[in-house]
Amino acid sequence: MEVKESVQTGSVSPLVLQIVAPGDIVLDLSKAGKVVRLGGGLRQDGESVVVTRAGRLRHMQANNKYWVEGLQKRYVPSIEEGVIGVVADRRFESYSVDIGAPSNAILPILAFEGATRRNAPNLQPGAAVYARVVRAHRDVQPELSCMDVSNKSSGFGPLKNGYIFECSTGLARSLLSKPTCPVLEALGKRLSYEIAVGLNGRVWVNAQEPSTVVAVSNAILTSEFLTPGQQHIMVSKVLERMQ
Amino acid sequence: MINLEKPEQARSDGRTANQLRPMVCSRGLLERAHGSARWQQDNTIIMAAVYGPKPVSGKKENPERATLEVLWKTKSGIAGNTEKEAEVTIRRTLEYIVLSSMHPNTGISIVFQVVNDDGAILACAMNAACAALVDAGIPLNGLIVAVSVGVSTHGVVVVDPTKVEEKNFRAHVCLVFPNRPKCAVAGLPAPVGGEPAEHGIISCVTRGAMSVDEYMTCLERGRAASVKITSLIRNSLEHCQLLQVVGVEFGAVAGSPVPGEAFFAIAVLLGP
Amino acid sequence: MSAEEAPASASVVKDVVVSSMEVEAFRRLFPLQYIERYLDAAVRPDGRPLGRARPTDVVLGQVPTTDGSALVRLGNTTMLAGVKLELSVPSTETPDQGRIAIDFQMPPICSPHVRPGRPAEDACAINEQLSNVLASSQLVDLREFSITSGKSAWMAHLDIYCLNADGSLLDAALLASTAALMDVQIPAISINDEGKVQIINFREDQDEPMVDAEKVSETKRKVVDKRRLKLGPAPVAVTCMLYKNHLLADPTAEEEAVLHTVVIVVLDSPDNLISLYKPGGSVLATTSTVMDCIAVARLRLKEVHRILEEATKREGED
Repeated sequence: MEVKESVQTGSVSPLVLQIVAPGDIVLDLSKAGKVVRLGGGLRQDGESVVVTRAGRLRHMQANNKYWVEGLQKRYVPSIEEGVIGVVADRRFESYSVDIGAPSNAILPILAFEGATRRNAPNLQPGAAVYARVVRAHRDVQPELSCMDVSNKSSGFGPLKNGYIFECSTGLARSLLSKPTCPVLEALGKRLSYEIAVGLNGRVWVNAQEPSTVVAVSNAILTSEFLTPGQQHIMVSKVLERMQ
Repeated sequence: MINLEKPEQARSDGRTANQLRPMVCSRGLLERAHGSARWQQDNTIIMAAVYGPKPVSGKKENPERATLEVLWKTKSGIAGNTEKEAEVTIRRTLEYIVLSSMHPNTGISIVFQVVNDDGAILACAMNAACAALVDAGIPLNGLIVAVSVGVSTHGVVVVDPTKVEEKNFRAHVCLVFPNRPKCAVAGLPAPVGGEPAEHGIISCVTRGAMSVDEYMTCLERGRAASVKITSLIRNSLEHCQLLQVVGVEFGAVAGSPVPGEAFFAIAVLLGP
Repeated sequence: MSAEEAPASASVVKDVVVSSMEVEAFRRLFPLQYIERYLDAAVRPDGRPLGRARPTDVVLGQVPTTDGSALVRLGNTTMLAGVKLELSVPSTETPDQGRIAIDFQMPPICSPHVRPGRPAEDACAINEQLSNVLASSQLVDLREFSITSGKSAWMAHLDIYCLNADGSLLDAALLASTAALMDVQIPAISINDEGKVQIINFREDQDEPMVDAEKVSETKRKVVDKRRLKLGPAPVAVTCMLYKNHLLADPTAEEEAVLHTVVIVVLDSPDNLISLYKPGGSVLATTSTVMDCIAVARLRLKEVHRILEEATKREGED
């Protein structure tokens, strides 16, 4: 198969929406004009932008942001992402939380809404939390917080009961896309369940009946490579089998 | 064996001197590994699994870059000096492409398992390692292409020798070149030393004695063969990644959907 | 010396001391820039031009308890190689050939980076490369080691010890192995009719071989005198470092640690390439770079062959 050579003529990369491999040069910064924002999978090499991860190149016109969408299991923390972590250890001032990143993250004991030294939540090793990444730099351990910017909890905090399973980061992102992901919508029509999705590839599901939990988790895992139509069909089959 | 009166005639498996064996690359096969790949060149099969970036302890920790570790598991028997040398060569080759400064204080391990060795095992391993690193999402600054070339006792240069051919040949070489990237900017990647960048050698391991001219011919043939392998690698990448675009182009994989795994194999029979 | 001159010379001395400390500090903190400064002037930190190897010394016959030995110094890198011959039975696949077993070791004495215990992976890699080079080159014909086809042959244990590791380990190890093999004297043996072989020991004060009294009456034995090995052309290895567009031959350990890209070329004649090993690195090798490395190797080949000849002559005179 011939590799089609498309050269950048305007200010936008001609490789947008194509599959790119590490080493591909996608943009000439000198021709780009306005400020270019680089997301995951891209880095700047002198006057050009080079791909570091394989995936599909995406571009958002609004803020001229480029990023590479790929399918990975390993999570690389970045700021302002909601993640699900499991407490591994308790230190004096903070918890050490495993979020599937290259090193464990730090969650300060007082990073919960309305927490003071006297009434902070006491999390045991093994407890699950839904938190927000506050600091993420390659040389430093990532830091989490269970509050949003205005110090309200808004959904962050410990997760009680339920079941956690792992999936790829790409699936986690698509579960959180707007409008609601077809699989979650279809399941929500017939079953009632609670779900929290961490961008680190972890999903927490809770429901009244264990069978509901199992059905929801299986449905989500199998929906990864299906079109919306197929997802609806798959969900209806799952629900039939439940009855 | 090659017919010496007419060197362009078939080898014992029917190929011509410049013909590669059919290659298959599959990725994402191992559930627990962060990235995995299986590279098959006819009967030579090797699997590579990548773990990382993960925390490491003690001496191995480097505050500026990630530490690469390579383990080679043979099909049978205990690992000896040959395997150690292969580990060192592969590790130094991969240090060329892995952007280890993006994950300091961590470690990346690559484990190889030889499933069957029918010649060109080191080249297979390099290709498998590259595919596994891409599957794991480790930041890379390019891809590599590895090819094995042999020189028969009568000086005929042959591409991709089998184990029998390697034993009977006077010498064989494993060459690793950088993969030619897709480039949206004219004039890049810049040529190095008067040649296109993908002609430069990242690694070279020879076994057996050959003349300097024969070595130069091996380089030429290796470069020509690497172009074909490059297009195979790009194809396999494109098809693997297409599957994850939810709801647009691809249907389910072979009937009932398989949870979590992106398994797609391409077999390309490459002509002379 | 008057009172005014004394402080002036003291401050000059102090300046010299301070600036040499600064140079050392710069060398430790910024090793790459330190070497780059020299490379821009086309020189190495130890004053050599880029393509020249360090002064090489080969002395044969240093270890009298072996059948052949050599001590090689390549700059500061020191290797001691010894060959001991043992009687053995040849394998059934190659009944008229002997064997060579190579063992390269880096004891902790050679470098602060080597710890006792598991051998460093560099040592294993060099071991493997040495066996490959000796197998691919025509230095030793294994049939030289055969005594009686199918029944007995010599097994040579070639042990190489690195006494000081300062870069270019394969070059020095290969040179030591070649020199030791050149020094090998296969002992005199007597073979009886049944093919049983006995090594004849020489008593120091006699020139006549000492023969066991009771065996004198046995049926006639064939005696093979002691002899040297007939060797082919000696393979010579050159380690080159590539950095940007510079090519450095025979690097020291400091240069090897900082400039990562290595190319090792082994030749045994100007046109016969025994091995070309380039394990990755940060610089690509273009065709012209490869040709430059081979040109450096050709020059070194002539140099080393001359050094080996002189060493053998010197040993013959002793």
